[in-house]
Amino acid sequence: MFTMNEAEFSRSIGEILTKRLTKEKATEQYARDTFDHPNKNEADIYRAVRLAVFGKLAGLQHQLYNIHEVNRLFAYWIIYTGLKSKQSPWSDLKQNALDGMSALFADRPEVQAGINQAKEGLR
Amino acid sequence: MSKQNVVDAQFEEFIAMKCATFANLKYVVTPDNTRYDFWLQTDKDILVLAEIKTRAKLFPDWFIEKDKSEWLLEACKLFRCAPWYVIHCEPNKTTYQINLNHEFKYRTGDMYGEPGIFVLREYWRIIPKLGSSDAPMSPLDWK
Repeated sequence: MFTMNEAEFSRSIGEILTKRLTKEKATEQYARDTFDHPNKNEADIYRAVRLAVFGKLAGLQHQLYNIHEVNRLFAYWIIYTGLKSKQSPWSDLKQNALDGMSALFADRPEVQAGINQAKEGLR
Repeated sequence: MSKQNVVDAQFEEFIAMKCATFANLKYVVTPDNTRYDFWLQTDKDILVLAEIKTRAKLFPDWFIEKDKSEWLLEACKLFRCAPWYVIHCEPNKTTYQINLNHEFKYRTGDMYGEPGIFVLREYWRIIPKLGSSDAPMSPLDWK
């Protein structure tokens, strides 16, 4: 079973954030494996998106830590590309979504600087 | 007298609570100027995004504003939750709810220049009133 170590995980966030990475475009094995990770679960990805965007007001953001980080990574990607599109409904949820990007990995202080940088580019 | 379509914060909360009680979920009312009025959630997830309107008269059908319904449908498709449109009719103090993802017949039209659809009341679910109308027990009832 493939498991990502922390360094690979952080790198894959960077890849996904900066290169609009898809499985087909992934040139490195670790990135391809992220897309095929055994814990990847679509229901959890979308739950992570909901909790990230709406969870603060709902008092539910702590629930994010129960979601596997691979699914949070995909949630991050969905929010990031949504905000980048500047289209509805993201345009109406911008602040919540920006907050949600940090909330997704609040338990990973080492990636917060990269997330803040990505958020600046979206403002 | 309240104005048509305008829902004050306390009343909005009351309607949200009524819907939450009915659905056996918790509610959160959104801040002013948010594109929707409240959501319903469990302790682990958000399940419904909803819009509330009030109507000052009882009609055989209820108007759903296109702009509001399109936004709800779009957001709920993206977030994978249920889009509810809720209408509270003041004369009969009844709250009607429809899931915009469900199938229903409608006619298109507009209201004060706002395009939308009119959906017959038979397609709307009535949200039960909160609490009991029976008087609570008092010391006089003790024997």
